Amino acid sequence: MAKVFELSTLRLRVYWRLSVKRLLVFLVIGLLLIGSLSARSVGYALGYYGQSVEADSELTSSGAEFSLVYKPFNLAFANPSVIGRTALGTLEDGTYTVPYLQIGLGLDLFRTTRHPFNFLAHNIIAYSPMIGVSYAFDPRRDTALLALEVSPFKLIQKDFWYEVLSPFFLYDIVKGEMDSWGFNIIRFTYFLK
Amino acid sequence: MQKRVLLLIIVLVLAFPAFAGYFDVGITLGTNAHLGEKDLDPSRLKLAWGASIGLTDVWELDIQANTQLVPTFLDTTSVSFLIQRALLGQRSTGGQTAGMGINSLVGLGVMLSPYTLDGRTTLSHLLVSLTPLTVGSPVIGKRERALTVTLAYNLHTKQVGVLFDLLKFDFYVVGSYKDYR
Repeated sequence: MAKVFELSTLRLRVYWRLSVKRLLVFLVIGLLLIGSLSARSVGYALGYYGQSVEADSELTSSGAEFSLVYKPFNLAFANPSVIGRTALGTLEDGTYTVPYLQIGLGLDLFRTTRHPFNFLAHNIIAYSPMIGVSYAFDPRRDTALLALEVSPFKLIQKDFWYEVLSPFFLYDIVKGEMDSWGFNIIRFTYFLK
Repeated sequence: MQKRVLLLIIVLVLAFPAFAGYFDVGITLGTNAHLGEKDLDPSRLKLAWGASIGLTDVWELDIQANTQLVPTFLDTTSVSFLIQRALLGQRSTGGQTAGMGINSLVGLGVMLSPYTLDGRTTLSHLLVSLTPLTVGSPVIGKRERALTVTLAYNLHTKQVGVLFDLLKFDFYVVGSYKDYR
């Protein structure tokens, strides 16, 4: 009886994994197909981050952040993007560290050219604040976290995003407390296609 | 000592534009890192903000505040005053001509900060600065300064630290092509 139960549980798990995999494959193919309709959708980013770890201050670090961005649409409101991030920084003692790996969703709340920041650029540039939510993993502690990010000062052009002073918060869902926080002081995203 | 430095800065600010006929003001925003003095300044991420004031076609005064963001948000702020000279030609033509788009800067200055033995904010460092690359100019209205390295001699501890500014932007509100139409 126990063996039958174990087998059915195993079967269920296999079915579940297969269906999730199928769903993911469909999602990726769907996004790629829709993405090909837009002019520019895949980009990479370079940023400068600083992170303060509340749980362990010795893990506080700063350095370079790298991102890959997929932006399938070009909506004026609630424009979504899929963002993967990682960073390479140094700890207080100069040791190199990878503070997080992230995969998540960004949402440009709106896009407007009527804003007070046009003096920052030679050409007219759009203002498009973003919020983001991601699954984050801290490889140093084997810890899964929920990442929340806000880009209140995000300026965009056809093939560029410029972000300044973007705060982020990493939340430990299991413990129910904030794990760490930080800033991306500056981030440039360039869209290849 | 502080009074003398302040007086010197004020005199320079007032005197240069009157004699040279070149004058521009840019708002500075960027990044800053203070290295080599961890005991006095444990910051990991700093926001650089301030003003870049054109004094002549090759000289400028840069007033820059560096505010700590990480690990403690808005904890300490230092302020540096640098007199800098353009090394690769005119930084501004003082007219509609764009002039040099790429330049380098070298400068001398002082820093007021709480990075002293007693933590009191005072004149703390003497500065020697090199910016190997600037792109843009006041006339264009925007300039980027990259990879600025500043040696900072601490007058109190007699040690040398390093200030490193990865990237800074100057947004000119006075002295751009708009003012020479």
